Amino acid sequence: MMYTEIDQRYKKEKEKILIGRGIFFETIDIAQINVQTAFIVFASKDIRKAELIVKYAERLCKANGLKVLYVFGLKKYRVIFENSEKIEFISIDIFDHLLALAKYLSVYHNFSRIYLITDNDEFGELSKPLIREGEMSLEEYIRDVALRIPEEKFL
Amino acid sequence: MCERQFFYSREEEVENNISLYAQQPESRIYSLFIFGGNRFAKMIINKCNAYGLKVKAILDNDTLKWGEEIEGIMIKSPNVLLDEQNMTVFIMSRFEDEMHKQVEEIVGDRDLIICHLCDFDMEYKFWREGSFEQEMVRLEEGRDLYLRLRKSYSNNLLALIYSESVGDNYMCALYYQEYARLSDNKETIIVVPSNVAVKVWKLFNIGKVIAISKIDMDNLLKFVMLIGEKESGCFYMWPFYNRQRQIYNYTRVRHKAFSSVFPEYVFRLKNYTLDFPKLYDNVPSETEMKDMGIVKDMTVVLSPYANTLPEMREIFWKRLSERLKEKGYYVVTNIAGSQKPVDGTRGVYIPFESIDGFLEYCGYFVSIRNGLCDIAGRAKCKQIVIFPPQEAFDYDEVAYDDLHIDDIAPFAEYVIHKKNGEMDTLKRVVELLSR
Repeated sequence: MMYTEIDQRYKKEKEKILIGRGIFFETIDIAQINVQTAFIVFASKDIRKAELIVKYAERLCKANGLKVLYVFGLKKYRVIFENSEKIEFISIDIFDHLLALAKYLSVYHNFSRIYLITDNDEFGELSKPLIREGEMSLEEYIRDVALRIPEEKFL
Repeated sequence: MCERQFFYSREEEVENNISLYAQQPESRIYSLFIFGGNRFAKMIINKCNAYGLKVKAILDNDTLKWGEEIEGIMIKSPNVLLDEQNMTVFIMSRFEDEMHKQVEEIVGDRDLIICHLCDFDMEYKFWREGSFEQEMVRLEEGRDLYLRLRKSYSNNLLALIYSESVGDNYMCALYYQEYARLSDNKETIIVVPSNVAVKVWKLFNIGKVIAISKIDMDNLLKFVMLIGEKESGCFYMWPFYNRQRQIYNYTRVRHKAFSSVFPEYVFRLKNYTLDFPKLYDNVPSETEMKDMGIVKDMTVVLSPYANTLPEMREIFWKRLSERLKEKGYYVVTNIAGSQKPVDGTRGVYIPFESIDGFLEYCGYFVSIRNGLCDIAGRAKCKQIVIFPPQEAFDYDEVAYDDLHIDDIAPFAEYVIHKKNGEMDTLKRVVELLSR
């Protein structure tokens, strides 16, 4: 990439952070954020990943003592996430905005209760290589790697 | 808008988990234990007291701690769980997985709750807390540095490592060498955050190596993370943030060592052979060795300093050198910069590029676990590596098991030092050397 392209990209990405930050503060009452709050940014188009998050939401909350599990995702996935009483779904209209939110949270914040579920490795996603190599199934990946949920008997 | 409210401490996390447990009906019936007579035990006990939970005992594998008390609670062997019927064990340690397994094995089918009080996976140290505005300034600084680098190296791959330690850089260089060979990437610029790292990379003859400051490296990485690794023409040689967490989670669930997973998921290496540098350049002549008080095959080189991991007390090294001299060995200390030699020994500076030849001439090498052990690992001499006590790793990101360097140092023998066990460690080192 040429410098001008890099600079353009930088401006764009910086804008994304600002958009992501804007979305975050518009949708979340930060006074309510504490150690019992976690966030999942579902910036994926893989519906199976959404279903698995719902499947394990209760265990995730139990394991981490969570009172609120916010999931940011596209509007069309609302119906899936609302199957879970544990999840408070925040609908985002544009996929790029979801990525912007993931960018803001990943570049600016680093605390253990932000989970980024994506399809690409821009955010360090390991699902593809692990599944491709036959190391684990998608379900094992979501449960053990992305969300790191302990076995039921320990909860 | 205040991002600071986002951050909470490990202590808050522990308190949250204890309060949660206190709400469970089992908390009123089950006997409660804390595994680990470490520095967190006091804090955990105080928090338990605040929530009306009575701790029955602290469990620890270190026999030397048994009988001691923390906040009035006695430290005992984990085997006391054999006498319990219903029990809860709180764990807060870097070795939580091993502890978890041990407790399960002892308890068997009886009723057990294991509660992990906090998450040790996060790299808290790398990212500094700051205001949003400060972070944006750091990004700008990262961008400026990136563009400066690009002015000189417009088309080269920039390989970045945020670790300044000798061992991490040596390991990355070993794998990077193979990665570069397979990807036919010959025009790489290696960017590292310390001058000593440059020396390590120079051993490999891989490409141009540039040192920048640690702060500059943080800023540069932030910028590259924003732009994208591929888009910016960069390559991270150490995983961080989401990828690091995912790799840690994966290693835990599959019981793999981080060092075994690292080449595959960072360097994309599956089947590879490592090509170790041969370090025989500029080895001093026999006369020069003599002048340094070194006698061939009769000299022990001590390496008592470590940057990342804790060191042994000065008195330990002094006693060790005395004991070795009594046994007829000559003893020197490897030093660099302002480091002082062990009392009663002469200080020698061994450049990395001559380390194999130097140590093979001396015959013996005794070192605390440090980065030099990695570089010296292929020297064909008697090598003893002393590991500090496990408790020392509670807050460290590197798992204890990963410090074993069997592939890199095939001649090394390990001595695990136990807290308050200096005499035992000393005896063991002398015994191994004399074998």
